[in-house]
Amino acid sequence: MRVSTGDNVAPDLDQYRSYLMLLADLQLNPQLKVKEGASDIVQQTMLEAHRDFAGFRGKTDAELRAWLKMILTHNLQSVAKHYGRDKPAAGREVSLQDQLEQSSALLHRQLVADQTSPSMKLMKQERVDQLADALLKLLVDERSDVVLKYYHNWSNAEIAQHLGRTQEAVAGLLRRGLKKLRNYLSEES
Amino acid sequence: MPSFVDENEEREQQLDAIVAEYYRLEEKGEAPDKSLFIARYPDFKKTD
Repeated sequence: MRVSTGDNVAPDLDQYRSYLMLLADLQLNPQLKVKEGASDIVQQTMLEAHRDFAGFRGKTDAELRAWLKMILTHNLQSVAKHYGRDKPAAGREVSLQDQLEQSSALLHRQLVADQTSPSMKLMKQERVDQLADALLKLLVDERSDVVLKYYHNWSNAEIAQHLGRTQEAVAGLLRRGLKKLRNYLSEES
Repeated sequence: MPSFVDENEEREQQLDAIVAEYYRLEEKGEAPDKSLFIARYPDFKKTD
């Protein structure tokens, strides 16, 4: 899909907000979100995207998404550095920083870095985008449980405690969420 | 007399409890053989 970038005027970037929120949710350690919310980082990303849109050279939706993800990654890394620099004595903070840096580095390799041919990179990016779009179609509770379980590798007990649900409720949300994801992804492939 | 919706909801809750039990065992490092575990619940065999 092509995006309208006439006169370097930013298109409606707000349509990408949910998408960026999801990516931030995937990358941020859930414990860290108590202090540094994904919405704050996404808001900062949107502001920078509007401010710097004149520098965007892409023409397609995929290129715009990649550009927004690059800004988001930079902001996520800044959060990691902030926690590492300002609280060096706190072991837990360092641990969170390490996790976030690893996560951001993974995001960078998966989504941004030019380590593969352009066609391979585009294919990989399309798959990530498909999964992100499918995740966005889930109910909020389903998505949060799926992300914590399969992206952050939390146990059901940890998810239940963190979100104030029973383990049976978590199991149900995961079951229904995964079923929907399978359906959405099979429809798209 | 229970409605179809009530029965369906009850069945969903039972299934959630079964899945939760499987996750508990798995997270304790005691994941049972899937086919044996499913065989314990013949009423749910054809449900996802």
